[in-house]
Amino acid sequence: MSLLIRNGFVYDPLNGIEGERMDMATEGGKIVEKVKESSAKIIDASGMIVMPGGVDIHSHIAGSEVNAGRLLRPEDHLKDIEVKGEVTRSGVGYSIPSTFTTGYRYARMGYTTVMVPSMPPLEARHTHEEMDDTPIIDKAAFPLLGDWWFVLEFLKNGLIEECAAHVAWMMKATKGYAIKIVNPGGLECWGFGTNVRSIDDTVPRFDITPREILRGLCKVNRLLNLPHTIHVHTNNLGKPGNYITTLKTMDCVRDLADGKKPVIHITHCQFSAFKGSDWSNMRSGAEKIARYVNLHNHVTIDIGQVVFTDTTTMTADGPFQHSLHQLSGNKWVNHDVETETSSGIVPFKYRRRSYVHATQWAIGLELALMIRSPWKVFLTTDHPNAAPFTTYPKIISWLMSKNARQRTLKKINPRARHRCSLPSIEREYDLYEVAITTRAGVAKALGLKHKGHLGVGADADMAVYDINPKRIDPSEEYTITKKAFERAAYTIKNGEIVARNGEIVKPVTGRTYWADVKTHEPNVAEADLKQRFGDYWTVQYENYAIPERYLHYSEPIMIKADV
Amino acid sequence: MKNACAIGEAKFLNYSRHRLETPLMRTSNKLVEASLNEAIERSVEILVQAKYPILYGWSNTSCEAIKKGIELAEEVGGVIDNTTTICHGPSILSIQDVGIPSSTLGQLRHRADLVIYWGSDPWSAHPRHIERYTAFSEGRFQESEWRNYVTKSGAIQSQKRLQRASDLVFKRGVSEIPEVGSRPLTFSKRGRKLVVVDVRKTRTAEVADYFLQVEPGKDYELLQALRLLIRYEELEVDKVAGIPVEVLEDLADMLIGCDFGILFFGVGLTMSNGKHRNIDAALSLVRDLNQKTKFLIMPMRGHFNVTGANTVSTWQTGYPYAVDFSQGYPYYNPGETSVIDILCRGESDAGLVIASDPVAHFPREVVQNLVRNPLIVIDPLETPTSLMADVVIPSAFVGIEVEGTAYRMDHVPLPLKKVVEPPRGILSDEDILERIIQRVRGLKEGKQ
Repeated sequence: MSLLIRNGFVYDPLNGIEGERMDMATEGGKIVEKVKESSAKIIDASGMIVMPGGVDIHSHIAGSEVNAGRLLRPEDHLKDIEVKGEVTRSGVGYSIPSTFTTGYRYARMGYTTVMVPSMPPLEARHTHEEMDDTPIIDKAAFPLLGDWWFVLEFLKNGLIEECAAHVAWMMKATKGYAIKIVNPGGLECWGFGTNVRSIDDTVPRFDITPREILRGLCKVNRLLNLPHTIHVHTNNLGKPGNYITTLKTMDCVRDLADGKKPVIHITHCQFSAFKGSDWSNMRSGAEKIARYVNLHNHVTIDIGQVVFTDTTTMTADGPFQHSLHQLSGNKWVNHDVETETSSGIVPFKYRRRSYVHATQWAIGLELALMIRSPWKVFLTTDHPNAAPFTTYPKIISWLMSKNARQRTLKKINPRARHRCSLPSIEREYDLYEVAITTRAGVAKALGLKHKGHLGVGADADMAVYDINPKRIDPSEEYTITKKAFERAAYTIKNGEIVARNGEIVKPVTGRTYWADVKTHEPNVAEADLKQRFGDYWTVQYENYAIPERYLHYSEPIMIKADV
Repeated sequence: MKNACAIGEAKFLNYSRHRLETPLMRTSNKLVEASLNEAIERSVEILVQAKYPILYGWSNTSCEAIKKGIELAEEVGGVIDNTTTICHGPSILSIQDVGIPSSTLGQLRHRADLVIYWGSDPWSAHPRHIERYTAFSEGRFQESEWRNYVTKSGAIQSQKRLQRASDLVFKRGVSEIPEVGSRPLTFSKRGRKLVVVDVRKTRTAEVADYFLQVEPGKDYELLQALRLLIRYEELEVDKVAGIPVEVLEDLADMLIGCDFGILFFGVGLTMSNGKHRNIDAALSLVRDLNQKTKFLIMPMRGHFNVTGANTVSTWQTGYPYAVDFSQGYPYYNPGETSVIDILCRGESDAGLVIASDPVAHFPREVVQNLVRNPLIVIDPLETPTSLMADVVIPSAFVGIEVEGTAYRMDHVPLPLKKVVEPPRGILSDEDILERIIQRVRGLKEGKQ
């Protein structure tokens, strides 16, 4: 089937196209030069903008911790329902939507690719089962490897190549895409209820520091030629004064970068950009972080923007979640995973009138606005930690409009308002920059070559929004832009119209990307794992790895490693 | 047969006994053989005509089949519920109130130095649990207590022999045999400690280092007393639930003093007086303990894939059991939408039972209401429920004759393998349900 989208204002930053009025043609799921008009379905996009399908770099939409959150919070679902439609399945929201609903809601916003950033390797099968049940969007998952005993042991002994070979096995076994590191060293400590306090603390029983883990896995990442960088959730997340840890984390791999290519991604950076020594004098550290990111090319970040709403926090950072439970008094789920990782869940409500929450809100926007290049900073809410992903349009309106920010600023805690620098920031994103921070830049950072742009040969994933850039001034008419981004006029996935004006018309199956890393001697790592398997896990070696046929729509990315 | 416990081995070795061989349909109050197509057609008719059908069971089949079940429930606007409703339903209600600090089983094998089984008897019901995951397993930071146990029981045996010999020599009557296992809590022990709390001395209690016998129905009191004691509050009574307060103080010290504790609870806690209040107290106790040390808690689940039934239901509908689709979207309110309560009120007008046997387990009145309406049963085996059904469709054994996915009690997903071919003409649960769904859709479209 071919498709012709006529007369839209096209925003395709990777190809340098900024609001040019042009036609886009697709055939066989790809963007093509042109199609026969007589046989193509024609969409009239005049007066609308056309962008590549949205790409989300970090969103907890599937897996064991997400599902534990769903189970924990019936009160989250009761008021937000999706009724079964003619082609759609029913489901519930709000902050942790059921799988079908998740797929539909992303598609309605014009998003077509989403990264699932924390997959406990032992429970990878669960993550994939849920991803398979999440329709329309393409997905990939990042296995949690920063506290895996094999990694700790190899890195402790300086065996980078052996470590790389084992990580390659893990990528294939769990059908993972990138290396996720959460509170390196801290999760192993949490096994006995403790934590690390800085990136140079020693992890008891393993005699290794977070710095060594970060550097080691960064080298491993390079040896394996993985498409994305290491994806890091810093130590000390959510603690006042942690911006220093974040700066140290970014700086500790600076020398491993060659040229301009980034080597580390700091995720939901807002939670790692607190100044101060306790909650009463906590302040924004966004400026310091933005300055570092502006001066260096080896880092990318995503913001993890807070929106004032009732949501659910969930991370693999067990100790952080426990402290959040202590702080808030809200119910708490902890789930440690043998030899690999931990996780925790706490429901949380961000309040405008709270000094800390309002400051957090400002930090996210400050990061996005103070970092000059949108190729280095991406829009996320660390769904559902800082807010559900359905709030992206609201955040886009804040980025695009000082007025929109002022309106919210008026309502927040006055002390937070006076102490943050957000009110003095004049910058407003234009549509081109929005396209970078929500699509082009993200796809580039993830190494997804066929996503995030509309060049010939790219995947035909597109979003058409009802915004006329010639008529609408997003700075003034921010509610119109917000509404448009909430409900794409058309969402096109693989050359098919999947959503129209917020209505799902065709719930197609999305792909699952994974890194099929070829190492020189995969048998050596395999034999080693087989031999030691029983000492580490309580499942059999044969039951651990996920065969490719298990995935509904597997899309391996062939990679040749240097080991 | 390798690696299976006694229960698992029995399942594998006897899978071909008491099998349903052909589809059956009830005509003039007798179950007679029918073709698969006839049985499916009749099932579809029943489900489409029903206004409020219930779809119950699911815990002995694969996640793939459960997914189909949810799709079918949504399609026919019925209620889907799994066996959680009669075992750990109260646990889930409490988790939704309090939360739960837990982990995978390997974490306990490597780290736990204090293991408590409360109202559960793994030695009989989960025969390899202690050996693989807790006191008798070899972990990275904790050693197995197996050898100590063997030495200890050996010593006790020889003590008994000595006693008998001296009884003979001195021509006394038979003196009291010393108790195997449990010792006073004040008796300190190095290494892993195994504690059992139960209303009777179970097989597990005999293996345990310490055994506390709680008076029936007083678990809640005991748990709340422990919550006070770990905060160093004084109790102004001599005994709680039949146990002297001094003993409880020692237990509280043990709870606080461990490096890594784990509390397993079973149906003894969920289904005795107090139900979810008991679990509330247990979860709160463990949550509180995390301010002082590392302590986790885990329900001892029964059916091999009951966790999977909860898990799949949760990700597709947001709720783990008792999901009502009659309004076109998932609605959950146990007590209102759980099958036992629906049947008690006599509200449903048809039933589909799969991979479970409610006639043998539900209360009598509830069963009466279940069998009064048209009943479809999908099961590999002949069960009391299948004997009372109107349509019976035999299915293949998951994990023996068909592949699939199941979730272990700690939420670790595991593949189920196929080792033999199913009998000729017998489909898997998943395929049967898929055919029903297709026919239901066909009928509905036809009507429009």
